[in-house]
Amino acid sequence: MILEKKLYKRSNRILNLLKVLNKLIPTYWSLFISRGVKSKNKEAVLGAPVLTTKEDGKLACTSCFLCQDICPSHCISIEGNPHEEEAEPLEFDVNILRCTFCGLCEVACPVDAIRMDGKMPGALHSEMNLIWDKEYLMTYSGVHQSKIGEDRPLLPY
Amino acid sequence: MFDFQAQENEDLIQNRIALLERMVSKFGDKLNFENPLNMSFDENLDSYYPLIKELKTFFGFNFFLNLWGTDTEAEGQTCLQVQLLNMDTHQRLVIKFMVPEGQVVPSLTNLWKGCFWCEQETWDMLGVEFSEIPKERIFSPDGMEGFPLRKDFRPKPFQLKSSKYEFTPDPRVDREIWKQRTVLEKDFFLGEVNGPVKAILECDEDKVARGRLEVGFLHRGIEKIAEGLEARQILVHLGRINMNCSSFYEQVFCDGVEAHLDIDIPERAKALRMVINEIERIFEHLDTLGRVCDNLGCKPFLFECLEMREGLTQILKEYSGRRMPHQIIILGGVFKDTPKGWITDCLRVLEIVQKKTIEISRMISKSTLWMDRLCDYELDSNQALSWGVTGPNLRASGVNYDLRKVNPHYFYDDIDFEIPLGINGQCYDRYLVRVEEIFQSISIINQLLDNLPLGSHLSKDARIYIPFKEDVYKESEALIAHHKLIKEGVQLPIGEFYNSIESPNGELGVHLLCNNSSRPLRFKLRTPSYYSGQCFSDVIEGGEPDEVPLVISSLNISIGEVDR
Amino acid sequence: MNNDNNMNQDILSDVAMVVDSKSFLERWSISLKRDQLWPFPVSFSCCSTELRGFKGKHFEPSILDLHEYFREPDKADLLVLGGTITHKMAPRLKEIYRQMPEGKMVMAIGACASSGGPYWTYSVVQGVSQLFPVDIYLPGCPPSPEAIVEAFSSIEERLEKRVSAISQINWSLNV
Repeated sequence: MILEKKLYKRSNRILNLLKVLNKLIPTYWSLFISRGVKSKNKEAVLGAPVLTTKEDGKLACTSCFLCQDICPSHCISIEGNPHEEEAEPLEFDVNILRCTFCGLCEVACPVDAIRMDGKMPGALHSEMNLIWDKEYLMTYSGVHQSKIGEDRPLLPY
Repeated sequence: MFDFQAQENEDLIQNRIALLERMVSKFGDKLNFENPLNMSFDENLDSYYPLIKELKTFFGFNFFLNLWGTDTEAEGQTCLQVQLLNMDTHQRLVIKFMVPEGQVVPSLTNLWKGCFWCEQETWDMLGVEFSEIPKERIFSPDGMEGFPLRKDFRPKPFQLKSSKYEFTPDPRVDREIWKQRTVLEKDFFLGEVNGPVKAILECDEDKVARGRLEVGFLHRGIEKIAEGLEARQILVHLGRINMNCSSFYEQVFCDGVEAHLDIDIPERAKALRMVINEIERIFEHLDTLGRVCDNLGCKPFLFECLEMREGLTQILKEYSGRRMPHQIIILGGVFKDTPKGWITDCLRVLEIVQKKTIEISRMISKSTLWMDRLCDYELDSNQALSWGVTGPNLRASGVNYDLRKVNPHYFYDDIDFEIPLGINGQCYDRYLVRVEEIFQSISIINQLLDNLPLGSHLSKDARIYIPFKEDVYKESEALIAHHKLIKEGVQLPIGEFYNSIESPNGELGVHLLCNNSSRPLRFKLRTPSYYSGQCFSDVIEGGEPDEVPLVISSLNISIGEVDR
Repeated sequence: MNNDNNMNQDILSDVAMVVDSKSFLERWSISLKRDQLWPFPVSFSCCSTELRGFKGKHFEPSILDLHEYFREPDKADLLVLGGTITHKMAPRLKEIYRQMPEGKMVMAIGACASSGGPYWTYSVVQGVSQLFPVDIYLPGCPPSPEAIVEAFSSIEERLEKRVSAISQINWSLNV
């Protein structure tokens, strides 16, 4: 028996109806009361990936391929500069439809070049807009690296 | 009361030792019992069926947990593993058999009915044949060549075959009577139940004579994907198997890896993990309650449940910054300490949830209409044990088995809570058990949040801890550690482990075979809905075809869990 | 076609100018236009939980309440897809799409439905666009209810401009 409550006994049909009618009014009141349950803390919301820039306007990315390797949905593709090491990548594409917004790429980045700071993308009208290239990721929300150390949402992992 | 419990514990320990001695005298050196709760040994395939029968009848291993295969490095050899549980002493046993290619293995369905899908899946994934089991694809698409979990599998483009399931003649009735039956195929793809599923029903004059579920519409091959990923990437996939209780999947994996690496996590992390898990338990039970109300046509209660779920989602969002797969539990603890004012918010929301659930249950629990519709579809305890059902569905049949009590982890030992038990195993019992579990969970969370231990929320062991970001930018040591962890992943030493936890639907287990690298050789999940999905065919017998969604939602069969 | 669009825009701008003086008939015509959208949600796994949450109280779009009463695809004109689509599921989805009447639109919710998401495996279809033309893609895993509301409004935009993926394909074939 469920915690020794007398639950299996049927109750009187009319009494029950009265009980239900009696209870209906406060139930609908409680609907309105609970609307107040909404979080006020909106700082820590994660968003879409963006690329940060240094103060001179260049990308902070050094094409180390760590984010490309760790992405569980393989949505990042980087083309590094073959002539120079630790240089800005030639191409940096993010397939935003594949992205699961898990935040592993930001965790993996050792130079704070990629961040999950951007506005969450809305509905897209065609598959053409879904691969975000280097320029778009830079200008999407215009984060500058100088902002390190301010209130940043902590990431999992 | 206290003395009685201590006495019980002593008896339990003595029983365990007695069983272990008997096992050692029978199997000798073969038995591997480093952890007396998880034993294992290898055996020749010739004695497969008699040995398991002996273990069931004479050694008390009366509960079937899992059966799976692993492709080994040896050519054409598959390692078949059967996992059993002794419900008196709560000891688990894994028996390993090497199966050469082309060998037909005798089926275990005579001993436990719940083996059926496991054996069919083993054929589907690895090509191990079982006698009496149809050679049909259960999860992977029909018409595909090869067996996905073999190491040499390379996917090729294929043409999908359309196959139709046909019932074999019913042995219990005459052939002539059987021929008059009609077969109904009902599909539930529009969100009536938790995931896409097809029910095939053999009807005898508006009553269901036999029925079964066809699954595989949501098979993503997570076990295959996980073989190529490292621990942190697997966590991302695990959180998406069942969105309602993602933290349980994350915890069972993290806990297992931590135990395998011998890492002790701080007390605060343990308590916070328990809090998150209990919130998710309420979340899942409210979902079930809402679905049952929805299928009975009580729309207002469905909206109430959704409303309460929304409140809990907001609480988890406030903690983690994301709505659905919140990914709070990570390797080594929780990713963040509680935000300011979160505990007060959490308690306030839980109070509202409790009030509303009491209101709903008072209104419907004893109403005649509710009882008339729900006092049906019985699953008695013998059937439940034979199918391998665990969790609230088993407890509704009157079997007192809860991993939080029998094998308590973290602080479940120090906390006051009770396990609700049903009597008849009907839909009504399952509903009552779930409602009572919501109240128990709320009381657990209240006790935990009142005595939350102080300290760090994350273990800083160098094998799993990614250094804090600002340190990485400044210090070279942290940078090197960070680079090593990200590039190589968490190194898992040779060996295998099994870890299980009481999820809202039953025993959730993860089995990992590691080979001194960061990627596992075999990753196997024991999901609770897999077994309650099979027991559907017993429960639906004699029912009406229109009430299939009600039965599925009262058993809470989550197809994401079944298919993986 | 063009004329119609212009006229609609004129009416709408007038309405926006003098909201209070909107006549009953105008309001009625606008509500009719809204009701052209009969969504038919097919949702599995994770995105279904968000769609269910969306059906709850916090957002009250009149359009989604309707689907409670229309569970037949031949009365709907917007297919709302959410969740992983497997090869086993694909023929069934194609059948649903075929049953829907002319002027149908498709909305793919979440990473799995629109591109296959993180599941690069043998059993998962890599995006619905391999099965039939898709109008709206909504990234996110799963997207928040607010984003789903936004996606519905952009579907309405497309409806007002009378663009749809299937008509574009027909047009290009004719040329």
